[in-house]
Amino acid sequence: MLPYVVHRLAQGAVILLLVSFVGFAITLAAPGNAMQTFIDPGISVEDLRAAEARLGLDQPVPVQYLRWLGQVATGNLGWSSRTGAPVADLIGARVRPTLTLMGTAFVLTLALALWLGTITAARPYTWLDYGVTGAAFAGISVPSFFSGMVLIYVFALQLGWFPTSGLESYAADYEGWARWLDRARHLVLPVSVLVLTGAAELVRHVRGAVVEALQEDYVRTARGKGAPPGRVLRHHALRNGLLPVVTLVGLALPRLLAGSVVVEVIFAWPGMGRLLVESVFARDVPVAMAINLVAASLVLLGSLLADVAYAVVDPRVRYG
Amino acid sequence: MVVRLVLASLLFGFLPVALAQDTCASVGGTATIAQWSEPGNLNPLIFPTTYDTNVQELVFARLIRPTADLTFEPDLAESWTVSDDARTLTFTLREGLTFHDGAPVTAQDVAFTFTSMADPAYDGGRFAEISILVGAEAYREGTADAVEGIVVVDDRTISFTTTEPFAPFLPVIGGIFILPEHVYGAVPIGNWQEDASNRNPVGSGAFVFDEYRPGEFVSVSAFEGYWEGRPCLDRLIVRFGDQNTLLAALLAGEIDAAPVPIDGATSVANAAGLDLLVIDTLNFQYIGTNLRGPLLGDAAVREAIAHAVNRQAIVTGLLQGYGGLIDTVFPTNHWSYPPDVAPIAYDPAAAAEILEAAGWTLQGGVRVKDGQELSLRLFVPTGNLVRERTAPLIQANLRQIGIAVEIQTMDFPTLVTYLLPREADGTPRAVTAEDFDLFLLGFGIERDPNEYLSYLVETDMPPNGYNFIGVAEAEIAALMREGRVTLDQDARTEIYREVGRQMRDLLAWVPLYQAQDLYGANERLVGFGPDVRGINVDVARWSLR
Repeated sequence: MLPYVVHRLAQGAVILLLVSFVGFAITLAAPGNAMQTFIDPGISVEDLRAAEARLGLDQPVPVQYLRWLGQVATGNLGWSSRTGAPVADLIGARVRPTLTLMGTAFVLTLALALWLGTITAARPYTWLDYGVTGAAFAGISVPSFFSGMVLIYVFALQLGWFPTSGLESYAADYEGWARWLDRARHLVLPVSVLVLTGAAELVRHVRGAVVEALQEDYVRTARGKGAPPGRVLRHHALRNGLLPVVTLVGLALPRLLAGSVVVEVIFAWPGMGRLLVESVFARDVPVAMAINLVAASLVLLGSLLADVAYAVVDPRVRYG
Repeated sequence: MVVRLVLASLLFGFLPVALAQDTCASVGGTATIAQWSEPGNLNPLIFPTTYDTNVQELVFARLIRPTADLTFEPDLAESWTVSDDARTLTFTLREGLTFHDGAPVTAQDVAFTFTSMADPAYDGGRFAEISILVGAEAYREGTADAVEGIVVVDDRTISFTTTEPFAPFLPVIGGIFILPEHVYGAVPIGNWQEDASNRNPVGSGAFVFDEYRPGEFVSVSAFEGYWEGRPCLDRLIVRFGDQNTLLAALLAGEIDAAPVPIDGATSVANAAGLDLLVIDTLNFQYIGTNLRGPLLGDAAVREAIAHAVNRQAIVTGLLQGYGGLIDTVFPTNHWSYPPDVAPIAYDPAAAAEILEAAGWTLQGGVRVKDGQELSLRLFVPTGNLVRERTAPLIQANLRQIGIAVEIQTMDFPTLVTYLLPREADGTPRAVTAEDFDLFLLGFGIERDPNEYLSYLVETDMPPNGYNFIGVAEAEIAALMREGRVTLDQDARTEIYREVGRQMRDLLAWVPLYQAQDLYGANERLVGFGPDVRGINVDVARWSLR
């Protein structure tokens, strides 16, 4: 297993280099540069060009790329073209809010999808199955910006149960438990949106996988041996049915850090997705590239973890 | 204007300054306001945007500050005088001023601030504003040790000398926040943007900077030593986010004041406990034309466009009445707007006749002249929803008179690549007739109509300036240059009004509308009253009920 992992990591480094090259080319193919967003009657074109020269924006693309690469190779992600802030700080500040939001949503999504997927698989073609299936299709079909606005309207504006947006009540100065509770209240609506759409997708996969597994010979054998139905479902069917689901979960890892642009914008959540979109619109290449790189690393890591998890879940899978 | 302001300043100088507490409805508490975008730089000398300035205004103070009627009143300076040759302005600072860290505000700090803008290593984009000072160019080029035109007379007195009488110099000074030398002078000027001070500003304004959480808010708290007296609020939080998100937060009572998108006006007006404030601004929207080439170079085509667009429908429908028509290139509520300018009538029939008379004849729905089709691209920058929605209306209006319009929507930096084009190797080049036809954009007066100069004089066509449209009228250029050096306000008003009349006839910018800004404010926030100066008017006197 270990040599396999090392091999995959080495492959990953090469892929990252390619990703950074393609990412840089695409980012710089967008017309305009960071300084051009500052055009203003009070600023002369000479002053704009001086600032461009300082940021190296007047250099040919290959030169800009090599400079950037050289900097990143030394562990320096650079500075934002728009604000001068160190890119590592900008991304670092977003990690916790993003992980909190996406992690909570991920765990709840998984739990909900496994639970609903298994119980519907155990009772296929009943009112429960149809109900969950119908709800899942609705969940997939409704875009998250819409469900987000509906939740805000109903639960924040009409009922007043939850706050509309933000990480916490900024003016309140809560401390200790009160602060944690306040933050949890702020999590409810954005997490709900993510879980609704996420679980809707996953529950269909889980149900399908478990239904298939329930028809396998080993399940019949288990039943024949007199194993209780609950144990057959959880131990025999679900565990085997999980294999394809593991792939999906592994691929979901990058999303944990990449964040969700729509939900972050709607709920004014200081996440990674919003930072990426804002940096693209501001032509803030160092920030956009750094997020690209982080996301690409996570995709690679996610698929590696999924492959390793196969071996854990399925003893037949061996790497060597 | 200068003379009148000096008189005003003398009066102000002798008025007793009321302590803020005397005029506070209450003292204490935390208010939360909001804006639609995050600030980029908090060092005011680095490419300030409106969103940056909105935050900087809380933390920093200037020598003088604008008034609601667009003149200036004392801020850190208690008075100022103008020399007989009108080239030297001398400011006297108030006594006992301090920065937030307790250090005194001296004339040396003022000199440091202005000198920094001419430093060879400075690249924050604001050198042009003070390049009129004697010796600024020489200092920038490294051939002088100091800017000759900046003189510290004593701790509380500083004078500025310009190379020629320069009418907009007072507005320039009114736009520059004073930095403490002991803080910003400790950082090499070339590193200002990257330095932590760009995210932890120290000034002498009403509020002390506390915290900036990216993507969330900036928080400031009352400065006990503020010259006007301690602000009524203990703390002020500025949140940033999406327009509709902030609207929901306002409606839910989570924030006390925020700008409101037009679509949200009704819900704010109907909400209990909220007031809808409708504010005139100095911004307007126009259709820009590329005067080069046979289509838009033809005055008849521009005139036809102006008469064919149903601007009133835009104001009534898209702006829901929150705004008005504008008939030339200056905002209607500014002294430069000519009250006698000829209104642009909506008259599609007349527009069609104008084109017909100029030889543009209809062939299958589109007009043609000398084998050339009257078919134009309209570049529409994103970012202003109402403006984006005007594009299809304009397209439909122009189709009626036989002008084909193809809409191309793009973000602002992309539009800039057409307006300020470059060679393939990145070298800025001149605009050609092919670069663009029509574009939608806004403009406004920040402090003085001299800001239009680079947009309207022939020598400032790209790559030398912002005259993308290609105005080459010698008379307009002469007037714009005269406006810079004319100190008598009545004469100056007449100069810009004449520019306004000539630009109305030229129609190189087809004026569309001047929208009003909408704000929603919770009734518990007392004293909140934005005006042409922005959202923070009298912020030291805001209080909570």
